[in-house]
Amino acid sequence: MNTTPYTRCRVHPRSYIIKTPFISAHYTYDMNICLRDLNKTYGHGDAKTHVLQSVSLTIDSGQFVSIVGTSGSGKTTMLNIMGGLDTSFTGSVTIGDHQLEKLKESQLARLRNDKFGFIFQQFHLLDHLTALENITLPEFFNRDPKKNIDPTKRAQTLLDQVGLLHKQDAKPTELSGGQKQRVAIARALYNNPKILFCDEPTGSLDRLTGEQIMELFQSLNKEHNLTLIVVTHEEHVAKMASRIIRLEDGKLISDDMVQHHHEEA
Amino acid sequence: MTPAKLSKLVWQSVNRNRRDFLFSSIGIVIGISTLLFFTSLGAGIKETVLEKVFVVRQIEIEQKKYSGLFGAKVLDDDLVEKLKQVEGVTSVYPKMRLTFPAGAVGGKQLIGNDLRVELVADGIPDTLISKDDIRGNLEFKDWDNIACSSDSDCETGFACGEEKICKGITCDSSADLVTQRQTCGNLGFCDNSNTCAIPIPVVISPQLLEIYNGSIHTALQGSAGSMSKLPKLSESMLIGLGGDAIFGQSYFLGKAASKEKIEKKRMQLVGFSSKAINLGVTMPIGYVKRLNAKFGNKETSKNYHAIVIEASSNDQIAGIAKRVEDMGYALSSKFENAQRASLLILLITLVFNLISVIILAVAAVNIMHTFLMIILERRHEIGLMRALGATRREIMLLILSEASLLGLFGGITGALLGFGTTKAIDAVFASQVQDFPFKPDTLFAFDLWMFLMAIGAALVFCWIGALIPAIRASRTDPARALTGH
Repeated sequence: MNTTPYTRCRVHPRSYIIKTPFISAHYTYDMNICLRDLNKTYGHGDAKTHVLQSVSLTIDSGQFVSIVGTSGSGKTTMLNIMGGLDTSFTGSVTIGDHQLEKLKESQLARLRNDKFGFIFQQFHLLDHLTALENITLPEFFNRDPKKNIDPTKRAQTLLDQVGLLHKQDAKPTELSGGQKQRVAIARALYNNPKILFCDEPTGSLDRLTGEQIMELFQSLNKEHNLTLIVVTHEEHVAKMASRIIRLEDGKLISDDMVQHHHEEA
Repeated sequence: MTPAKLSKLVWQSVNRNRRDFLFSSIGIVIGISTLLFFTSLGAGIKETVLEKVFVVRQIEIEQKKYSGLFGAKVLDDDLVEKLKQVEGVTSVYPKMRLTFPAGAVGGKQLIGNDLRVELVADGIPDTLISKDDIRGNLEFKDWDNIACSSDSDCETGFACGEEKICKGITCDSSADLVTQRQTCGNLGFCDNSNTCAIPIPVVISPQLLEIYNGSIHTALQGSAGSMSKLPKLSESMLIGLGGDAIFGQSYFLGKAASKEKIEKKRMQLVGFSSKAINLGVTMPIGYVKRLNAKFGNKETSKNYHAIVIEASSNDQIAGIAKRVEDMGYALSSKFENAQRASLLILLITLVFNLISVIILAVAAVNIMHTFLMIILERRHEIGLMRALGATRREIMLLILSEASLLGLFGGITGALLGFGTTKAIDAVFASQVQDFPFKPDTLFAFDLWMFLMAIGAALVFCWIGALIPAIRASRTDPARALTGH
């Protein structure tokens, strides 16, 4: 496998800006995300639309990043590309020592199963399965024989972490929006991922529940040093992250670190 | 993905879509039951026709009827030896007819009066008759030609003679039956020349009995006189019955050309065999050879009238038949009829099986449609699985495994339905259809390969139906599927 070491990506930073450089000192660099000259287009000829234009940035391992922008700004597309769900792009995406555009389909699938977790606006829980069974879904595609874990016990631990152990036998139709999203988070955490990709995780929730979910993300980020990338169009949600990346018409227009009050104190 | 994980995932999916799966399996169930029905019907008819009416594994050769200027090639011992060398031939059985006039008297035990008839008989090697065709303790063997070295090699009532052949000892024909049995043994009797003898064992064709019961008996019921009282006959009624054969003289043809004295010998029916002559009796060939040598034409009495060749398999038959024709001999019309019957049954079975395959093809299209619908409905689910780490191959495997489960269910249910239908038809056939010659106990013949083929066909058609949907599912773009595009 042809890999690009992290340092190579760090040597040629182009348009990413870290305004509070001291924060990076906390981070380990084993699963840094590095985008270089990322472009994505839809259609041909006159109908050609540039969804992403020359986006370059680095997200260090353990960062909690929000990607904000208006509808159609390219934020979900960028998330999908970083998560290895969308492979039709030009430029370079490096995660840890994996250069995504050079990975085979099966290698990319393994990376998604092993290192990534996904959370969606529509939760995407399977209605015919219980909360517990939904959480164990990644286990079906787990190819690592060393991960000799009891799926039920693992799912119960995760359900306990998100405060829903009492709902383990409930079907998604019996859960509220916030509960569904917590089950989805537990599923995303099943394989101990290094990075959580969240696409509008609070989009289908009321403000209070949305904030609770974001608080859960904050604790996961702090306690487990998990890299979190949250796409949102809600400013109050975005501000709960430690870094905000703004996109407009497929272009990166700002990249700011957020100073939280409790950090200042 | 391990087989255990795959099985669990497949079961979850099938369980959720069970109504869709049930509906799409209907076509497969019908197609498989039809396929099994027609295959077993074809095999059943083939078995009845080709193993009872015509025998295909064996061919019979005869002299050519139109033989040209130099006369027909004869069927003799030299030819028997030549035929044994032909590739694919396992056994060669010569058949010899009586070549002089003969008559028979008998039937008193059955109808109260003796009937006098012309005796048509042929001889075949005793090895050609299966032991299953011979009833009870009776035997089909040449009793007048038992080789011996001492008296102990011979049956009771016989002693080893000078030619090292068992000969009947002297007895008293005027003594009662028990005394005669004590002297001549259970198989033997004391003949008019006061010598122990064993009746000539004969077999008759089961067709003869079928023809009698199916046609002659029915016609005789309307006749005047004692013939109208003739009963319907069964194999058990006839076995062991005997009569006297009169060699050298018949009622219509008169005396044999030979100056030999007429010979009267007792015959006993020991069994029924498809190898027996159609109209007449068949005895071990040794008797016929000796009688022909005694009463027949000296030039032709050593020739056979037919030779049966048994092949190691049905596939060899065509090659052997061609070889025999090249050697200048004719195949018996019985074989040609069997070939035609076999071809006809094969064609009919093929046509019916083609109908079954069309039904299965329609079912496969239906399965494809169902799977395409299911996959469309499950687009988000498949996208999610891809996001959670499923490869394209695993998604394809999942869909094809679901199709396999559907095929297995459809195949087993279809096979059971087909089997049940045949049993129902057999029951109706047995109770509602009148007896006729060769009426079989069952119209169908089953073999393990038919069930395996039925289930295999169900699986193949399900895979064909699910292949395109599986490919489409494996190509699901997770990003688009999950964002609802």
